[in-house]
Amino acid sequence: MKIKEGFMLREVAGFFLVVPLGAKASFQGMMKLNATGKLLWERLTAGADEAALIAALLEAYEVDEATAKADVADFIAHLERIEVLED
Amino acid sequence: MPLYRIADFVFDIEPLYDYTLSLCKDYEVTGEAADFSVCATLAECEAEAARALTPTTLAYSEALIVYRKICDLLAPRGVILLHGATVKTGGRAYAFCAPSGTGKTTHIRLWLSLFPDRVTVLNGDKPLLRREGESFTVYGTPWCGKEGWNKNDKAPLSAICFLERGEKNAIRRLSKEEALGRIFEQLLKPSGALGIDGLLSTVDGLLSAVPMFLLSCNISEEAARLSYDTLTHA
Repeated sequence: MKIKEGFMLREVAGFFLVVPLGAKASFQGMMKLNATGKLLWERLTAGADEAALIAALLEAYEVDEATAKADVADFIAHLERIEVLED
Repeated sequence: MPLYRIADFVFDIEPLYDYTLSLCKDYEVTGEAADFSVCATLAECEAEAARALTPTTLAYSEALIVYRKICDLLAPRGVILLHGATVKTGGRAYAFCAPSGTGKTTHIRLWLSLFPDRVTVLNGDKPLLRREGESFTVYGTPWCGKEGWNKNDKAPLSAICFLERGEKNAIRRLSKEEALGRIFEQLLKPSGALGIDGLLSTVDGLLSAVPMFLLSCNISEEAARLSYDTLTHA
């Protein structure tokens, strides 16, 4: 599980944006992430698996393991739905 | 060979068709060194024409390609194409942005008829916006929409106003988050990571430096007075 090639994550005006680098001349497909989303995106880019993502959330935030697991599962499900992940 | 100054960069444009040269003639300069050379190949013109939604000519397609290449070259240098009808008054620029067909042109026509001595159109559709430090300057360019409204002139950008149709007239300042949600629809995405990176950095500065508004309006003098009074006091 990893993020496909061709995305750029940048902070703009205090918000985290993921922009597809593809050839389209519009910004369609751009995503806005919150701080948690940004952390998970960066870890995924660095090759983290699901267990590592959960550990990252537990380390960064005061959440219980069940919440962290659910948040990571939601995030991954969302990325799969919009076809950003590959094996 | 003529050179052209666009957004204070000098371009050597060598097109296949005369259309681009006649389009750019107000922007011609002499005795300067070119910063960039731009040209389009026949294959690029043919591909562009084939992609067009309505029948077009290779010459017109070439002009579009040249502008896109100029934008790609300038994006890493803090220049972006803003899709918006941009007027100048009191030495300051104001841009109106909305999806095509909303009434940007109609709205700036109202400004022109209310204040004929005070208002000029820098560009009716696609000006360039250049960042230098914390300040943003709008430049007229030859590429400007079907009215042909453009002026080889520049002015510091004071406000961006998004337009939507409404029964009554109302205007309010947008939060940064709201502005962020709207501004990207009005920008040409450069090709390539370097250009996109440059654009994102430019937009980051823009959201801090330039106030953005949402005007909900009908077609009336009252609408134009409301936007004029609000924007020129922003």
